[in-house]
Amino acid sequence: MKTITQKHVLEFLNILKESRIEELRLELGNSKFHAKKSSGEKDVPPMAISSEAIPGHKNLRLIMAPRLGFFRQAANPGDPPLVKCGQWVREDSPMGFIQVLEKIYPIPAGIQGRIAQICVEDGKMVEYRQPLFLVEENQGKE
Amino acid sequence: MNKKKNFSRVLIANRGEIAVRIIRACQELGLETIAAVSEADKDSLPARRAGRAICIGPPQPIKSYLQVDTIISAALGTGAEAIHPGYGFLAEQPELAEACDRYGLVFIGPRPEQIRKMGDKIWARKIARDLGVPVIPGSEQVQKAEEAGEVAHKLGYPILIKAAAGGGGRGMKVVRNAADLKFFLSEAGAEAHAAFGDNRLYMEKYVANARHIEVQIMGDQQGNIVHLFERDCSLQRRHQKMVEEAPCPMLTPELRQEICGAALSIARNIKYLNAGTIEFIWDQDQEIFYFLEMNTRIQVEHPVTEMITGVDLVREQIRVAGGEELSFRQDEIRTEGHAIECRINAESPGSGFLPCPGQIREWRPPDGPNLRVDTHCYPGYSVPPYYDSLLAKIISKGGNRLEAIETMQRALANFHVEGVDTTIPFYQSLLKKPEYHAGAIYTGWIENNMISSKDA
Repeated sequence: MKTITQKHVLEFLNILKESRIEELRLELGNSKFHAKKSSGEKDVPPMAISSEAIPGHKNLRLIMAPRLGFFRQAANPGDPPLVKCGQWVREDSPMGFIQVLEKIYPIPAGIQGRIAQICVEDGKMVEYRQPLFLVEENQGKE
Repeated sequence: MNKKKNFSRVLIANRGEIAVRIIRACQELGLETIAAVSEADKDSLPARRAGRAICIGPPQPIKSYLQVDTIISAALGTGAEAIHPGYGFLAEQPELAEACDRYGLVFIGPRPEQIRKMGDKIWARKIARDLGVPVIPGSEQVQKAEEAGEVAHKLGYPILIKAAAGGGGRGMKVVRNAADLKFFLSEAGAEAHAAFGDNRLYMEKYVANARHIEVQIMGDQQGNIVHLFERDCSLQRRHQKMVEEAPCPMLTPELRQEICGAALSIARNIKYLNAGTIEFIWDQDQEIFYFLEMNTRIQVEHPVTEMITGVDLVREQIRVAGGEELSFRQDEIRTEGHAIECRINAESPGSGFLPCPGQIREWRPPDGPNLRVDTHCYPGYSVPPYYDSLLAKIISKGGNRLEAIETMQRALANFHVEGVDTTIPFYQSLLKKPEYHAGAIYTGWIENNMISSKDA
């Protein structure tokens, strides 16, 4: 065995799966292999926000739902929405919430810029990675 | 509990061939379908066949198919009124059934307390014993190595260590002598904890010359509980079933009646609702059967029962979940002929059955009368690496066992798959074995006869 092939990787993963080993690191020539078992935790924390460029509009970014749930523009019904169209937001600005049954998860902007569009009506169910906001990214000042 | 709850839209909280199977049953009943899919399954056949597909999370099951709150939200948000859990994933997690109750959704399966009770194998053994159904000689929960040593000594080696929360062979260890006991106890405990979050163990005498026989049960909310005869699932590798057939070729009519009667008494005792399976071990040397465990879900191998009884079990599951009465009485269930199922996996039988995910370039499944192929695959489909590697189930039927075997052999020869390795060649050589034709097999037969020790 001079390099680590796909077959080896599958074999290592099988060995890891069947054993009590938590983590496996192997180096062979220029090949490196590193695998770690997941903790098996059932309640997964909210996933990182994804902001991807839209082809042809290099400053426009989509902020997508980090998980499936109900989109809330405010934490409590009747409260004013956290953000409005045209508003300037920073990376850490709260944009709204995803409600999953009794739990409510904040949606941070993740980028800096001006909100060009709010894509989903308040209270609607959104799928995982469904576009929520269109943001015109701007690294400079307001 | 006799409530008729009509629903018109069902969310399928599963993937693969069983999701396709459930969608078909829903469509036949005129129900709308929502496929809850992970990001890796957005282009899958269930996603295309369902009325609507919604993405519930990333590919990893722990972040998608195993998220109870997300599945419930998906049902509420799409106006689905019922959830079918399929098998695996959340099917036997009482939390999903409980959450369905809480949010006014119909869970297409048993009551949560039935899942919880029968999921505890130590408790299930007690129910069987109290009803006079033999259980394999063994222990209650074992905690200390010394205590286990005494039990093992009394039972006589080899013994089997099993997880109280067990299933699918995980946490299960055969111990052949006293010197190995302590090591295997800690191995089994750790495995059980990792797989089920519950490290409770118990021990059983290991039955070497054993057949695995299981009885299909169906119950409705009116209190009717029937059996649909047995399946023989003795051909296994690492406690995973590989070939299933119905009826069991070795059962006499008297024994069949006895085993099916024992299964019914257990199901009736807990007033079982919906589809379930009661598993037994038949000790071929002692000619005694023992209760093994109950599975509170539809099983992978349910089609062999459907083929010989003509009953659509998934359709029946949906009907009784909606409060309708079973569409047949016990004396109306008859079997005709013989059926065999082979589970075709994306695995390399030549290299220790390693999973072989990848793109299927060519996919030409066999067809013909007396043949059924349950699958979610198509040419160009990419088998994702995140899930189990089942590609298709081939089910053959014949007027007798030999006809069913011959139909299966032709089906395997005409099943053409390129792009991923499959277990088709393994089944082809298995079905040629004279021992298989004679029915002279046992649960350890494949490992002892078909697989070199390093791959077993």
